[in-house]
Amino acid sequence: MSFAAAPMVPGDLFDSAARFAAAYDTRLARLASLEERAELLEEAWRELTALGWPSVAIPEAAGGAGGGLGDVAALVEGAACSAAALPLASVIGVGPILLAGAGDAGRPLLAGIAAGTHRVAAGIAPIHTSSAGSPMTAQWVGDVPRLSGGMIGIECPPDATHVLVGCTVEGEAVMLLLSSNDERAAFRHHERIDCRPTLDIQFGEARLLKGTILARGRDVGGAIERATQVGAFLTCVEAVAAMGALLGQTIRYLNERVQFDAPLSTFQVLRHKVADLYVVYGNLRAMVMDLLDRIASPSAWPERGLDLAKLHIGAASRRFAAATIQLHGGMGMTEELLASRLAKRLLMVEFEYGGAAFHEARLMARGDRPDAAA
Amino acid sequence: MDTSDSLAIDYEAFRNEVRDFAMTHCPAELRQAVVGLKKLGRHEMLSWQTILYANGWGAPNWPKEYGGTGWDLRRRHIFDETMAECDCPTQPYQALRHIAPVLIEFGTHDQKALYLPPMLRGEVHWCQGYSEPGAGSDLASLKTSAVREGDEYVVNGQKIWTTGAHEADMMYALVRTSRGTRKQDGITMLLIPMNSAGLTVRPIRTIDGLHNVNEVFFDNVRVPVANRIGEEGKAWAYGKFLLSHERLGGANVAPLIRLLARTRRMVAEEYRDEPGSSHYADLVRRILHAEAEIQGVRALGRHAIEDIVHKRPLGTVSSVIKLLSSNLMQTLDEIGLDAVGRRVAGRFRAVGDERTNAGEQGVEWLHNFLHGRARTIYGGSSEVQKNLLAKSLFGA
Ligand SMILES: Cc1cc2nc3c(=O)[nH]c(=O)nc-3n(C[C@H](O)[C@H](O)[C@H](O)COP(=O)(O)OP(=O)(O)OC[C@H]3O[C@@H](n4cnc5c(N)ncnc54)[C@H](O)[C@@H]3O)c2cc1C
Repeated sequence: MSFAAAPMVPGDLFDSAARFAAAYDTRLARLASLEERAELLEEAWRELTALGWPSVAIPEAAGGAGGGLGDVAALVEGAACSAAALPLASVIGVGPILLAGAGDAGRPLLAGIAAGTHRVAAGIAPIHTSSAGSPMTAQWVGDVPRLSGGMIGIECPPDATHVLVGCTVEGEAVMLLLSSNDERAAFRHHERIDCRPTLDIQFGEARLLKGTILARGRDVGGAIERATQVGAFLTCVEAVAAMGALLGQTIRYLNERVQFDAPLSTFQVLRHKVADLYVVYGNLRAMVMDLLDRIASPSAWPERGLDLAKLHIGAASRRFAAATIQLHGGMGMTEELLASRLAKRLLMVEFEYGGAAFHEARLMARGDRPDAAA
Repeated sequence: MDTSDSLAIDYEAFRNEVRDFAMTHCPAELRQAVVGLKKLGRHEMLSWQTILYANGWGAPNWPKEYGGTGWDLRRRHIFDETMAECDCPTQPYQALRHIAPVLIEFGTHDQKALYLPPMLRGEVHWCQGYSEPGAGSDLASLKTSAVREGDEYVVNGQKIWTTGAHEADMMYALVRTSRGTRKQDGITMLLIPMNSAGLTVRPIRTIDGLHNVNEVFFDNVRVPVANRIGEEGKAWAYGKFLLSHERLGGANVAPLIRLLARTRRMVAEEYRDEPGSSHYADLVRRILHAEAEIQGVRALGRHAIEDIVHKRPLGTVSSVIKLLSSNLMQTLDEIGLDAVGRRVAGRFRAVGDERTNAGEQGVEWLHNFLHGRARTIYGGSSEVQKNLLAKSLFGA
């Protein structure tokens, strides 16, 4: 029996997400045009909304299922095994955590998400603001925030109704809510390397955003910080899930592909390469499972561990992707293989919820030293 | 191969002449496209070829009698290096460097007269039909069959990864005409017009989002026997000839040097407003390490050329150069990805604008990174090169 990755968060949620994502991935892979893909993702989002996924992490009081981060992780992990081109982690995981910082003001929106009437993209200023180009800046004009520049690459559910923006205005944490057709901003849509839909918001020179403040103050700051960490964590979960699936795909391919009258899996050098990948995977999987345990107990929130994990996993994911593309030869270059789509998913990891430089700076800023305890 | 008067040649003057020509004759928009890492298609490649032809430089690697320059190896090398430094497009290499030398060596008089002049003039675009779904690294196991019927071959089967097949007029293909005891026997080379009845080209969608490679299907495609190169069943030897002829193809490290300069420029530009950031410092450090290694590979290439000029054995240096330069290209590709990734990885394709070469400024570095993964796969994969090296090192 050759290798098959075991889920980190096994159970019904994992299984149903894995099945769901695999079915849509097969259909999506056949579509070359962005418009057709967007339509299919819309259908997928409707279906997963009917399954109740967006409400998983929303408190029961707001009409949600009242689940925890473990439930979100299970869904995200299952979907990542097929490199789902859906912004699950950011929409069903990060969004509600950000909104929780708005207290009562966030309730109606949470209820809308739980009921499936609202689809909310969550932008976090330090994450979705590039220092190159036109970074977002914000000032107060009286009580009204005035924003310039913009935010980029925010993961976006199909046909989003709202965009939530967590940012700071003159040092104060603020949460803004814009409708997705707000005329004061210009919206542009893209696909990421791994085909997930994203959104850019441009405010231009200086845009007064009256009536957009959902909440401000310390709780909002805490929520932005927590949302950033949860985003980084869920990215790690997805990366490990994608690695496990990709390892399985690669082993299968090497067992089946015959060159020089022998399966590629009989060439020692390729076997060793796969063994190296397995070692990387084993290490990261254990790391993420450990973080999952620590996250479950509120007293032991592993802030430093999360930064360390995200610091490391981007480069590891990229090496993993490059090695598996190479092992597939020309086939590794095609969109047709699930393996290539998983590899592209892994190439994105470094650029989500802060890259190595971002997390390194956070560790340093905390006065962290390499010999401090995790 | 080399003119005996090479001592009398002023190579520096030649380098200057090539540079002057490149800077004055290569259209700005073409050089701009090369600098911008844009995908160049048939039109761009052929239009530059036409300009070079008009100057008598259509085929730097051909003998004079066929309209080539007749240059010695050193001048060819200087030409390649300088053209790359000046950001000129590559010439249609599949025609000029791959099939033409084979035609010149093994083709009939009529074949040479028919095919070589249009290649020189930049009128006909060629593609290479070697690889098949079951025959990649193990090319000799190819199965596409050609059965002789009178003065035609009837071709059936499939090629894959055919670069530029969708823009090509002609394919030089390896097909199987018989089965011998060795699978290298019974392979024949045919020149196949791409508009032949029964020939279908299907694009392959690749991870870089560009259309470069294709599948080509042959369903009873009739090819005149007159389009066969050399003898039936002997094409494996022609492939080997080509390898020995172009054995230093990989010694052209000019693209590497060009990519180094471009990466350095782009990184400086991208981090203009944050020169003190640790990320910028890290990228600069990686560029310097790459540059150090490139010094070595550049010297290796030059030494190898001198070895050929002085008829010394080459050994395995071409494998060493291929491994080094493909890895270094990927190193630079990765630095490029890291420099722009935070800004454009999430904006790979713009909804509402699916044109090739469209999109956010800097996205071409993502294309380049993804496309560049193939550098260690085609032209003899890294693993295959290492097998060759190991065999030579261990003596078996
Ligand atoms: C972008 C691109 C453009 C191309 N353009 C053309 C073209 O124009 N015309 C054309 O004919 N072909 C073209 N090719 C095909 C190219 O030549 C093949 O991809 C290459 O020969 C490898 O074959 P493969 O893809 O079948 O990989 P495989 O041979 O299946 O190899 C898969 C993996 O196994 C490894 N491997 C294979 N054999 C061994 C071994 N004995 N020991 C250890 N490891 C081994 C390989 O290195 C690789 O990592 C192109 C390919 C690409 C990706």
